[in-house]
Amino acid sequence: MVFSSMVFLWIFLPAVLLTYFICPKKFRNGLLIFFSLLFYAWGEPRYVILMILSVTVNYIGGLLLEKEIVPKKSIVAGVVTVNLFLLGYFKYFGFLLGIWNEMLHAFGKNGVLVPEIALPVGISFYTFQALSYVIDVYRGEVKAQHNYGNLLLYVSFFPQLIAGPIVKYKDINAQIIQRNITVEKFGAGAMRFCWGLGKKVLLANAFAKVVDDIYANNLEMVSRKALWLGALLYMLQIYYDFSGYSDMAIGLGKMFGFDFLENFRYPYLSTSVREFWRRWHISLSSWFRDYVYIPLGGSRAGKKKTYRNLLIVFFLTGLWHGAGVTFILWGLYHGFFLILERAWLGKRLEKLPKAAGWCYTGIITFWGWILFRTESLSTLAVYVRNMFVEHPSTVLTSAYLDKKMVLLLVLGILFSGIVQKIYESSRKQFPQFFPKNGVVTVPRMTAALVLFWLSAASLVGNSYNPFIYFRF
Amino acid sequence: MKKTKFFIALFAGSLLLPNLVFFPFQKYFDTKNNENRELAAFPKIRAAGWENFSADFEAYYNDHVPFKNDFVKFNNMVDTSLFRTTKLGDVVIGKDNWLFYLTSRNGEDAAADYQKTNLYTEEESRKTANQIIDTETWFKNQGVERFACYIAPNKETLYPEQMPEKPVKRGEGPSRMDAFAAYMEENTSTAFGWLADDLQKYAPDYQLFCKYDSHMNNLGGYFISEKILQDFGFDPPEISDFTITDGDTYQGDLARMIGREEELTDDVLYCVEGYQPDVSCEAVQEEVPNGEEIFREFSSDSTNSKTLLVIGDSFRLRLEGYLPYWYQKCVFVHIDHFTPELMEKYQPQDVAVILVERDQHYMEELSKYFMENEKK
Repeated sequence: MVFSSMVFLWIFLPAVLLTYFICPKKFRNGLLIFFSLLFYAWGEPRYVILMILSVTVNYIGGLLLEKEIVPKKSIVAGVVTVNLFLLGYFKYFGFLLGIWNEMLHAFGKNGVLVPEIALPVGISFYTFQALSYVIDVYRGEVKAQHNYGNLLLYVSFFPQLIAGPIVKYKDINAQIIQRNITVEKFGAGAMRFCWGLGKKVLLANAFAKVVDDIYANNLEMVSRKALWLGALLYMLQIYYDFSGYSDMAIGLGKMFGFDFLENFRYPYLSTSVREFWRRWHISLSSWFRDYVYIPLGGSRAGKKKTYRNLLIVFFLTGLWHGAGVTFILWGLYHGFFLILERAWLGKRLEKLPKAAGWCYTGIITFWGWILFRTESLSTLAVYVRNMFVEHPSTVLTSAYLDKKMVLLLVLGILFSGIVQKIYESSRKQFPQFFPKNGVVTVPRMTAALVLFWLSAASLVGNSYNPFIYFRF
Repeated sequence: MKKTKFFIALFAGSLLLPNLVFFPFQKYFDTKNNENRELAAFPKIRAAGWENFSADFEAYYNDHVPFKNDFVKFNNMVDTSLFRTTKLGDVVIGKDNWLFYLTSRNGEDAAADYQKTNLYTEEESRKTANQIIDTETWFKNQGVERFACYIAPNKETLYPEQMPEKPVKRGEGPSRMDAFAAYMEENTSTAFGWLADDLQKYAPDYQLFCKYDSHMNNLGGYFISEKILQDFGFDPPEISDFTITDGDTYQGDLARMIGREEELTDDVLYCVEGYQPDVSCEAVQEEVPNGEEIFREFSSDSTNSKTLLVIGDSFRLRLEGYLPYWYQKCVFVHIDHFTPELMEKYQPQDVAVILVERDQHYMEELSKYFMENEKK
């Protein structure tokens, strides 16, 4: 199930909210577990067992760490291995076998059969959450969770299960046991949910239609302008899709009394790649910082090791996003610029006007997203080459840039941080005229409800599938 | 706090009220099926195939979501009135609200036909031509005396001046069918009619296609029938011999697809008055499941004792007002529903296959609709 579906909006969400607030407080966590497992099983009926297995392994691991029957290092190594094995098998086994086969073919040998392994939805997210728990217990930062249900709720809680944010156990464990829901919090959560829904359905999905259509064509026949348009729209699509989903997750969390940390802070306002990664998918970058970068030594072991650590982290970041060469290269691409900024460029950027840093970061991320989106290096080469080389084409921007898309594109650019930055500056100067974020005002309330209903109309419209001739 | 509570009430209402209001009172709302397909039924709960329940339920709920038709109308109104969008799904809105069907799915590619980006290679022309030749040979082996294959033009081929300039731009040079017709002429002796040229003569003076439908009207049907009859050795009368009246008004399939069938009601089918007044003709048998005719048999008191079999897609239907008057027996069957038993039963002397330009998958695999059916 996804948030941007009518079954979720008009059946699941009202059902869970209604039963949650009718239910006595002591049963509420159990109710959330039930609905979260139902949410996951709705899309992955078989793989819900895998998630429960993952929670069980980590639950036992946590208790063993507390009891110290065997050395803690062995326990945590074992549990981490099991977690990574599950993730590795489902997400990367086919990819690795593919590479192995290519190597065999290079030596003139026959490859091995690559099995079709379905990727369980959300496994990257819940595995990282589970790892966060067991490592925090190992480090002594949190106590082992004795209540299996509480740990199951932490991992499976439906707002952040499928697409994050990756919530660290130490940030949420207290709220699992005790949380308050106030009218203001619920209202702020509902507004945030509507805002995220609008970002995802009205902007991200609209941009995605164009981008997918461009990529579905023979790229040799797509005009230069259309390729540039596609790249720009993808840059906006991925931001609104991901941040919209995070907004919905944070909003839903608030409605149930949970406060999740922010996951996006207008990353396209960044003036360096380093700043970009403090604003983009914050939960992932902070996870890698806490559980990979710092244990490797971070930036405390000299320049060479720092650069090595950055490359390792961003190699893993790319790999986490997908089992593909272009994902890995995208991660390394960002890692390279982070190293460059540390070594030399960062200090230069600080001395330049912010606009220069903003342009530089925008250009780097723009090209990075093209690398991220293309599925192979050969496609990437064609795409980039045809962005610069004039060629005969039948797929033109006129096919995509109607008034509606122009409006959405302008809104997409403005609301990617520009409007918000102006608003915040204005609020600091004139706080009496600009209420704080999250406060319900008439304009915000109206905007939220308009976004909700426009999104619902769009989703219903997408399910309308008429045929010229009767289809049985 | 009051504002927040009010907002929460409105939000809760947005989540709860659609189902609570719609389903108990749905007889008062528009629940007409405008999609021309069977909507998903409520899934059965059973042990076998249990893991499909969620997908089946989503399909059911999406097909029956509260106020669906109202949402579709709202979306289309916003797109057409506010944004002046000229393409809603597969439907393109042209000048004077002329609607065109530019689909690129289910084996049809009208968009590529219009943009002229799908010309056949030499090899593809040869393969497709062989399909038609093999079909003709098969029919001749069944005792058929005269066989012809016709391709009717897409609406936008005949009326490009009614198309909008965006989002689809007309291609230059010959189209796929222009080039293929020339190939058939140069390389085969099979009777093949690309009807665009024949109809172009009349298009400036007569509206040959429905404004809000993807099909021809009765005038288009008349001129195609005239061409077929001439090819089969008849001497049909000229259109100038008849009085043309408006005929019935018609809600087109394209208007229905974009939810504007109640608004776009000013088109007519036209009627050729007094066609073959000395011949009486009637349909004696028909099969029309779900409103889509797949078979119809006509009998007439024509002096021509032969039987004509017309096989084709939906473009064959407008010929029913004319061709049956020239044969004592005339059978129309949808190409998907042709069976060799029809040949045994009716033993036609003349066979005409008629398909529309965008239905290229039929032409490219023509013989399988006859010869593979025989193997079955």
